Amino acid sequence: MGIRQLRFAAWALLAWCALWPGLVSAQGVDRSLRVVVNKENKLASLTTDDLTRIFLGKKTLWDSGTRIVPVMPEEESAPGELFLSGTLKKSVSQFRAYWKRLLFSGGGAVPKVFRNHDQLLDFVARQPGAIGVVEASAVDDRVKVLDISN
Amino acid sequence: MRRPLAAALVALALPASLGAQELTDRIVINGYTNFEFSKQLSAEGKGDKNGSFDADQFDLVFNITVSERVRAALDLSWEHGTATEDGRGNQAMEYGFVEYALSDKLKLRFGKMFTPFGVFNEIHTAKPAFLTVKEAASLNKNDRIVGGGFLFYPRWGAGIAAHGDGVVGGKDVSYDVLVANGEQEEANPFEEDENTSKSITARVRVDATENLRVGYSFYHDRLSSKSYTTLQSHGFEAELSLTRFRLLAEVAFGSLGHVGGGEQRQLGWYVQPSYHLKGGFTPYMRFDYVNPDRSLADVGGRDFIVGLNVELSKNFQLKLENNAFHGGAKSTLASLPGRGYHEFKAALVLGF
Repeated sequence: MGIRQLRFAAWALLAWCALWPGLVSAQGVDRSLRVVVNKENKLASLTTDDLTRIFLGKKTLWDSGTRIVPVMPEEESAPGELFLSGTLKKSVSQFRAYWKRLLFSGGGAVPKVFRNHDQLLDFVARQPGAIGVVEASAVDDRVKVLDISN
Repeated sequence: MRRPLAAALVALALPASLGAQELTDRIVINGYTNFEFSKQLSAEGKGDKNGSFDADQFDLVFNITVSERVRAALDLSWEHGTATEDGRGNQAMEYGFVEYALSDKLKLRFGKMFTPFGVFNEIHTAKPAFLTVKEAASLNKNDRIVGGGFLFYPRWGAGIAAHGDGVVGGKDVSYDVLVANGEQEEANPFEEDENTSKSITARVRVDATENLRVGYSFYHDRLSSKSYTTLQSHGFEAELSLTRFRLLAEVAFGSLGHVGGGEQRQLGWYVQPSYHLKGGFTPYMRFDYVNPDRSLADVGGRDFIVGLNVELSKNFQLKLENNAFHGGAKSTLASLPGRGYHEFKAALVLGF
């Protein structure tokens, strides 16, 4: 009984995945957002894939060996939701579920969230390894803006 | 004795001159707590006949950035209203390890860790991290469904682990390898090995597409038991995560070698679909099946769960579900009317 039902479930899953049209889609960062780093960071640009890996805890070190500290606006704020859905391709609940698993199994700390973009920029200016997502209109000379390529 | 010692070592590793701001940047404290109620609905069964409240657990999770490449992670747990004076409940270090990151592809971990097998073992105490009231019993606690089986792997291990994330062929890949003492009959497995053989756990996960992750896990250990010689398990996992629909599925095949020759072969699997509605409502189902001995007929059993997860506010969930247990004609549930029973479970869960 067990093996037969299992085999059916596996085939059904594979068939559905093959037929599902929305599995792959383009990534990027919305024009209303900017990705900023500490001014000491020598990096000038980053791919969206690497940006995604950083905010999903898969990339934790800069090439220099400095620990990456990702920060972002609150998930449910307009820029937060835009970043999650537009770049990470995750809903707020998916993002939280993903990180709860990683956090509680010892995989690392969740990206810090800030309600206020001024506090976010202060944090990035203070932390050498920080990388933040912020509204374009809020960016000032405390931080360095990265070019994001696909 | 060891916990205060570990805490002292971590404290010593942090520079004494840390300011308050820097300290909060380096030490992040999270946690979770879980309050449960269960009541067997059938007249006969193996569930909670009286209907009981359970102050299930309160955990604190620490992430301590010691330096650019060194991190310490710790989960301290107080279960079932811990009161040591009365010998009640349980206080435990669920995990406590130091991680040294050579690169993202190679991070070495030393200490006590959850065995990195499949999906649920590493999050089985962290109820905010999954939809249902309890983890999938078919792979993690199969005696909750039917008796006569064995654990596919010990749930914790003390040893050395490697973890890495990378990209292979354009796909995100992660791996874990843990070399540990393995399960012991007499000694504390987090302190002493009863034999020279170390247990090995390995897991690899691949993001096959943006929405589909698949993985394979392996466990092997030679046992020093008087009854058993080896424990070996293979596990496969798949997780499909679309905008609102999610499907989680796993299967594990285990074999337990007997001293007198031969082996007991066990199968466990589950499929768990869920759909995230607006307003934080997520109805779910899970079909858990376990066959504790594949050489015998009708000894298997299942737990069919239908439930609802409601996110009352950020990271605060209410879970309500019915568990329908049913066993084969020769299973440990066979003596029950209809060879099974129903049990209602509810939980209030907070992650912070």
